[in-house]
Amino acid sequence: MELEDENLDKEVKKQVLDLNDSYPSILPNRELLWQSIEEKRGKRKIRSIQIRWSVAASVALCIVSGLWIFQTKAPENNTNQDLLALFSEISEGKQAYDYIDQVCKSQSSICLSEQFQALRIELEQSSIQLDEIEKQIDLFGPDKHLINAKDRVRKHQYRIIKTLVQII
Amino acid sequence: MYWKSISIVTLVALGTLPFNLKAQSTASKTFTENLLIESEDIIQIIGEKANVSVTESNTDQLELKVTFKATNNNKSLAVKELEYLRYGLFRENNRVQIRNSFMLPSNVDHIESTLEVLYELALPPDRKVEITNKYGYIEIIDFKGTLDINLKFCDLLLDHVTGIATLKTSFSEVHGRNVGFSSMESEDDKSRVLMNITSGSYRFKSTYGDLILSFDNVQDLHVQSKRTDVVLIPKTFEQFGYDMLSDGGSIYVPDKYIQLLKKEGKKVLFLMKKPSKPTIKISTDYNTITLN
Repeated sequence: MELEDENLDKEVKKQVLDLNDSYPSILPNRELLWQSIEEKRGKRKIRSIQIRWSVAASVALCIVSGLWIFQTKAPENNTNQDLLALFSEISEGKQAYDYIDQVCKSQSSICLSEQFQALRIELEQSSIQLDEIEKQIDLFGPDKHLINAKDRVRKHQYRIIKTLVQII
Repeated sequence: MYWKSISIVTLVALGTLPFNLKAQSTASKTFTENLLIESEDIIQIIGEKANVSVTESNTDQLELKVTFKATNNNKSLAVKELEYLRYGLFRENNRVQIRNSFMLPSNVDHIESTLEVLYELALPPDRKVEITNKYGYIEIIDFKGTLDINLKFCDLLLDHVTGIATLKTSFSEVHGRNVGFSSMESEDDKSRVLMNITSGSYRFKSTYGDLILSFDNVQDLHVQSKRTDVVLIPKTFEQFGYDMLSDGGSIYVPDKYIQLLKKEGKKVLFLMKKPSKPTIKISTDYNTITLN
């Protein structure tokens, strides 16, 4: 039997009303059910917001790391603060000497002072110590005393560089 | 999906844990020696990456225990590399020398195991002990005698020690508790010295380090330093006289004595003489003196 449009509409309404009557009694009240569904939707929304924040934080971290790496590759543009940050990676201390050499070319009077010269010699000698420790680590592996020794030389270098930068 | 991914990663990590955590095996050897020593004998320890423990014994003998250890995931490699460790005990006239070394085969340029050398010495009081070491830990506890210590990249603990001492340290950390030497001279370079002194006369020559001294009843304390920050903590401030000079640095004293600070160009001076009391004399370049 083919139904007319009007009849079809009536039939659908009837079926929907029947559905209302057949709502399973073991389920919680229909209003409470909707309320609970809405709450879950809300949580999902919060979670998706948290994920968005995580992604944003990761992107920001990548940008900051990128900028930092870029800065360490261009010591000639550093301010004193940047330089100190750069020297926290003292293992690549060659950059420190390059920077100091650069400054000394333009401000030779500072670098000729007895105090400055003594610090530079100290810095150079500490690099020899660091090389010696590296050789020991190559032979004995990262033994705790050797790691401590390396850490002490690096701290000493950092202290010297900080003083040099303050003088400059 | 998010939590599911984390759970999968966690499960995989936990699953591989047994493969990552291999048990460490330690191979070790212990040697003991007992040697009769006379009062004029000098005990000399020359250590290489050694840990040394010295204490007093109540016999007239030098009791020495040497322990060698090799730690590795691979037991047979630990046993093999343990054989690289050697020590010798020699006597020449009144000098008893103990030294260790690493004897590597010519084809070995890298050691896989973690190697440890420990000397434990107990000796009668009033003996002279000389220790030279690089990379290690030294402890001298309950000791009375003469010490001559020369260390590089080491940690030194002095606890309840009396007698006479000469210390020379570089890139080291010195901790002293109840230090009561009748006299001590210390030359420390790039080192950190923290010492609680109970009595005696002390001279420190320090460069590029930190010196923190608390003292109770010293007869004489003299510090000469360059780029070493000095902190002095007398038990009673008024018990001592002070003669302090900082060239190119600063001096910090308790508020009520600030008016005694004098500035002469780059120099700062603090002078508080008390003829009947011991004088704490400090002279420094490019650093601060803090008097608590």
